[in-house]
Amino acid sequence: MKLYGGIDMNDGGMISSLRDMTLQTDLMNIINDNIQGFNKVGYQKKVPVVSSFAEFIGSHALSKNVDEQVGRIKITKNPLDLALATEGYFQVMTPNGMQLTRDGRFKLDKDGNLLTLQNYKVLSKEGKSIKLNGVPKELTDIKIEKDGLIRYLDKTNLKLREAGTISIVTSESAILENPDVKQGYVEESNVAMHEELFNMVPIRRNFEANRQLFIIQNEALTKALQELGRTS
Amino acid sequence: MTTLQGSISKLVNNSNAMFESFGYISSNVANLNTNGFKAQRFETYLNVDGSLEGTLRTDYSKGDLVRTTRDLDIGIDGAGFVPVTNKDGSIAYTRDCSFAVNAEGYIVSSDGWLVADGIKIPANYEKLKIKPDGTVTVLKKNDTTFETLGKIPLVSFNNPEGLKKLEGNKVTPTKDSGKATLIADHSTIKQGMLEKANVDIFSYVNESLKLNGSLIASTRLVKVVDEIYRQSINLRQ
Repeated sequence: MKLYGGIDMNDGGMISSLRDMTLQTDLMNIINDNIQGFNKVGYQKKVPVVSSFAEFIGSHALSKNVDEQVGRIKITKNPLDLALATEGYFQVMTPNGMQLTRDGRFKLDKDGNLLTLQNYKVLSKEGKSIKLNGVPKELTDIKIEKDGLIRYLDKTNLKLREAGTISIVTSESAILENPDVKQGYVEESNVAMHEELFNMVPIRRNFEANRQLFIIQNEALTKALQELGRTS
Repeated sequence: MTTLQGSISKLVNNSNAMFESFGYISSNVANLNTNGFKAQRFETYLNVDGSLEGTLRTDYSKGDLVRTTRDLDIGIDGAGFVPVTNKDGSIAYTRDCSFAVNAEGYIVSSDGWLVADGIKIPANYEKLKIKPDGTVTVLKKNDTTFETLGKIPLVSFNNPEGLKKLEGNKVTPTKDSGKATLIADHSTIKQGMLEKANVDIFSYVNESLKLNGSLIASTRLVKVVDEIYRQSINLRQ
């Protein structure tokens, strides 16, 4: 902006300060999500990536990557709690189409369908839902192999029956080679709480610095507008 | 893009869910010595849009059996429930099988519900024996053979997790659990034993540490986000 009288006023500085403050707020939101996901089963850490030209395009320079590292594996003793000790996802059928999840807390309904906690059907390798014929009286009669193959003991004729293989895919929905399904465990998130709290500090300071700069520039502009026109 | 208000409500939501989980942990710990108690868990999950939801699950795995040597204590070494009938005829199911005899001579649960549809025990008997399939027999004075009085039935449900919990450690079927089916051929009833709660107290130490961590971090973060909020509002100093 050119002020009357030929003095240059850099209002671009004010706008980039504002832009950076929004960017820091969005970064804060990602940390917020990670902290919320800290003790949630199957949550994967989001890693913010700020590309170049952030000073011009602000929040549009921000993108999120998913950290695919395996999280903390916790024992639960429930035979239908599954954890993936490798990368990969389970496939589930939701009303809005297929979804991937690492949350392996499954359950059986009264008809023997294998469901997630949200009552979505767990899909098999063939893309069908998984059903156990004749629900076992005790969940300990169900054995799930490393590759996701479900076997269960039929108490009526004491035969070991198979109920299909749980589908385990990569993030690109390709079949995963050599998966490692752990029965009786769940995977908690891969968020390290202290890291998130450390990452928060520079974001806070950056926000404050930009705010301070905005205030200083604003004062300069006010001064210029008020004092330059004065005649006496 | 989420707003600052969105962040704050997410954090508050998370704190509430953690509080709820704490509540169920303390209820489980309080019932550590309740016979036949089944632990409950408040399981939280994150939806794809980042919203947090939770659902209550009951763990129907078997608790440890301990010996009591009382004749009318029975433990179920396997799946199943014993049906009990109220005075007004309503039926519920229980695994808390510390039975007693009421004034009329019927076997009743610890809070006075009739076991099955009533098994009457004569006033003077020498010995009472409950067979592994639930048959109640007594040996009377001067008799040499046991007399069969009735059978304690054992029923199972296709999906025990769908059962509704009632007062006094009992459950009732819902449409999710399926109907009660009689277990015909079993030998899982153990006389003179009681089933303890299936509460694993040590796992709760770890669990509550993590809940506490999440709770503290959330409330701390509310303060930080609130500060950013305040500073944004007071941008013109």
